[in-house]
Amino acid sequence: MTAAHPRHQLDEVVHAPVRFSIMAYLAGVERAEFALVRDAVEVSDSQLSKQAATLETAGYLQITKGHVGKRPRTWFALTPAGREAFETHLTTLRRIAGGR
Amino acid sequence: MDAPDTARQLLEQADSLAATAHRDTRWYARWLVLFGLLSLLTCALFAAFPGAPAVVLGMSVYGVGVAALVVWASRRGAATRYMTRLHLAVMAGFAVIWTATMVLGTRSDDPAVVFLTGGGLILLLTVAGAWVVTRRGGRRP
Repeated sequence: MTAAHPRHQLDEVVHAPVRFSIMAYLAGVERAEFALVRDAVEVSDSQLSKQAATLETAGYLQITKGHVGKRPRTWFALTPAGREAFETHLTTLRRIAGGR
Repeated sequence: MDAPDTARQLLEQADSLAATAHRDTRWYARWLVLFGLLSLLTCALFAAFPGAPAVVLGMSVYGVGVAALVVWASRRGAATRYMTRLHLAVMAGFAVIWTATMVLGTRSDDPAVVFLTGGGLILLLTVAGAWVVTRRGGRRP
């Protein structure tokens, strides 16, 4: 067991299951609305809010609040740093999985 | 976390969520095709009814259609990657073709050909944009 093992390069912010799922979904879009992410990731509103705030603090997620008509909406988008972190994380997972 | 099986499961999960995201953004491809068809229909009306009736009928159809498309788009929850850039590019192309069609069509001896050609070109442009959306969205993040 050495520090050279790929698992040491896994980003703990990204690796948490719900945050990983949020980032996996958002990696495929420019931005997505709160409810859509919640349904795709299958978490509660409060859980999504909490994990999104953690990603925002890490600089991986941009949260934008606005309105469509009179309805309030919250939009999520990965920042460039978030996209890079997620891509690096996937690369590391591929190495662990055996060079996929 | 060093088990290859766990890593593979996570990668499969990422693929599955990327596919869900792709599905949620495909509405924009349909939007583009509908916008192209609406533009072609308007140009066809200009070709079929030359003069003032075309302006009233065509622009009424166009106005209602575009308003419906804008409302529909505002209710979608996800935007495809690079959507802002793609939308601006398609709309810039549309503006050029539309302006040229209107200018040439109103001065041509055979306006029907000009209007139908212009409408057809706009439809081709939007179909190309829709193709980019469906192709790009299918890629792995």
